[in-house]
Amino acid sequence: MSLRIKQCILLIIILLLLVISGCGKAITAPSETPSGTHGILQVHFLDVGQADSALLVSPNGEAILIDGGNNEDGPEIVSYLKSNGVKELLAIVATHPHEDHIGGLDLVIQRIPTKIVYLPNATSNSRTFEDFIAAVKTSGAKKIQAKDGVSLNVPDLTGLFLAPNNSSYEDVNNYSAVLKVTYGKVSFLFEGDAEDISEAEMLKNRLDLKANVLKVGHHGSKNSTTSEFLKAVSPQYAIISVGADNEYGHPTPTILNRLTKAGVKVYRTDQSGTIIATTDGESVVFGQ
Amino acid sequence: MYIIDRFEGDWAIVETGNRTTFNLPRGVLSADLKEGDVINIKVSIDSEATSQRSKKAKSLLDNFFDE
Repeated sequence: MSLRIKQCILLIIILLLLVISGCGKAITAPSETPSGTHGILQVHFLDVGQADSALLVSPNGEAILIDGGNNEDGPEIVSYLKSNGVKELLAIVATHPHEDHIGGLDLVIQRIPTKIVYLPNATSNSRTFEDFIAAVKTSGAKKIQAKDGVSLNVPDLTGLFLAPNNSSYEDVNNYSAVLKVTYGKVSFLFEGDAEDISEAEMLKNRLDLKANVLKVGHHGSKNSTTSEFLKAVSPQYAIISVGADNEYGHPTPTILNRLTKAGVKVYRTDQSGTIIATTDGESVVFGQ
Repeated sequence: MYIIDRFEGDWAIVETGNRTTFNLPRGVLSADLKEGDVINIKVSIDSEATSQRSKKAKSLLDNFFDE
């Protein structure tokens, strides 16, 4: 065998070893979550179609779920949480009582012990809402009204609700609990379906909106993410949770153009599936 | 019982008794309907329009076939 062929074989063996060791890490990573993620905050933006659901796993393994997709997404969210080692939720945040945000939450709270539920003081006439409230009451979780100034603190993380700033809105979307979570130098802003009226109130109240990652309001609808609001947040990254080819035209070209012009890198669940952002408190890395 | 859960652009998202949802175009709803309204849905036949469409459809095949 020539030296050249031997070198080739050696190279192939080294590459195979690298691939095998890489796979090993990928498989064991999720099981580390219950006991902590070694200084890493994970934010999972679940692909729940035309709906919203995000899971945060703090560096010490505390889990927070923001919204629970549509009614039919409940089982999938429960199994996603379980496969990521989530045995208990420190908190559930139900941003507002529309079915595409609270749909699966009754099942989640029935299946996974939950300490605290944050929701705005807003109702819906739907059975979905009735079932959600019944599940929260049965669970024995602490019930906290989400509004401007309320804290959601987790060891290592600072969580602060920036909205709603008012007690009465015509449009249910504006009741959305808007949550800013900060770890080290990195912040995430979760808007729910907050629209221009709520965004204007957050600006008027001079809240610190600056965030590295913006979970774009109302699936990229034209009624959210005003230029002024986007300027105040000045994110590096934006996440849009949408279903492929949805009937509602989300995300709208107006908002996509606005984000692009502002130099924001956009990730979409209809294109990328579930998106996982990880941060060590200094910078953010995206994966799937 | 049908309940309007929300509006999204030109659509109303309606929740049914078993919590499934379906979309109705806003155009078929009265303009005064709001989120949370419980609505009655009864769909009935437009006999005159149906027979006109049938006539028109049949006429499409008048002298249509080459063999």
